[in-house]
Amino acid sequence: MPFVEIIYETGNKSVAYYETDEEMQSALSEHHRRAINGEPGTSQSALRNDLNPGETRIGSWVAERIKDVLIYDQHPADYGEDQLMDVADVKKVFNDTIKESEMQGVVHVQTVAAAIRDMSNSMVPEPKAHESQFKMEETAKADLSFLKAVE
Amino acid sequence: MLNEPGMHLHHKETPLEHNRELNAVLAFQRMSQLVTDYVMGASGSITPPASWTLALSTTVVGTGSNMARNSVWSATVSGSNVNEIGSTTANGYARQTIAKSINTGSIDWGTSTFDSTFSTGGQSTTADQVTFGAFSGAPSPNGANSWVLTDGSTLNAGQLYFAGDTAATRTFANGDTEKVTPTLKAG
Repeated sequence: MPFVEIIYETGNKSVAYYETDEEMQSALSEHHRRAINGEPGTSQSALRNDLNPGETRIGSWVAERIKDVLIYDQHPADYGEDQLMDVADVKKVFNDTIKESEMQGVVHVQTVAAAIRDMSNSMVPEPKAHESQFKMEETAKADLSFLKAVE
Repeated sequence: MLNEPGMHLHHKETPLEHNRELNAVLAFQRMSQLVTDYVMGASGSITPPASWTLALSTTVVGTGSNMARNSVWSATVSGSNVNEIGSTTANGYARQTIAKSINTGSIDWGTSTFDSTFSTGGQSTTADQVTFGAFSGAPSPNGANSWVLTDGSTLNAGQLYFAGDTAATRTFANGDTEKVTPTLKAG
């Protein structure tokens, strides 16, 4: 089960690590239950003695309903972490960017560099609210029927 | 110059706390080195990561006796080591990702703004808010006192870039989430 991407109904997303399905179901059921009931998703917080009184405070936010959960074999941020890309893919981006940005025989080198550099970005630029924010393909979608028990 | 008074790091954790700025913040050596070597010198070996990751740490930023400019990630709580929550037992904890981009639709950095104040001003940018969890129980270690901009997904590993104190000590349990919105101000 290792890593999951949790997509909340609000469009927020997070990555979590669970050892087992049961562990994932426990966490998501409790959070979803709180959302259904309008309860906070906040942890227990304690004011800090090492900060000035004006700097320490306990914030709170509401829990969010779970919309979708995608399962990954590794952390989806690992995509491109080694900065190694297939040669053919780099050549394609290079050529496509030059073709798109060429102006009377010259091209802005930073535009080409940025396009190649972005190849190792692990995130997609414009994810829709209920779609994955990562380039890495998930291995499966979690069956969320267990959430019905708390709705 | 990256560190005080040149660089100031602030954060806000929730929309309810959006006017608060914290003093206990720190830029680590690697952040300075990115400016001297990568920005100034176009280094090919000292480079930013493909993506940033945001971590939660039990270590307080402090004022010199906790985190230090040359701190490193470590499971050993000693000296200036920075210790990550959930590194023994995750229970839902994982690092969150911030893209190395500006104002796209993904979680990344906002359009930067400029403060011309002589001693405390500078250019600042705030990332989109990230969510941790939901936790499935108490991570070990538990009790977040700071957030840390780092890289990679392996806990207690990677480079440290900058960190800020959380407004309270967060102790996580089943169903909990955490929200962090980091801001960088560099002058």
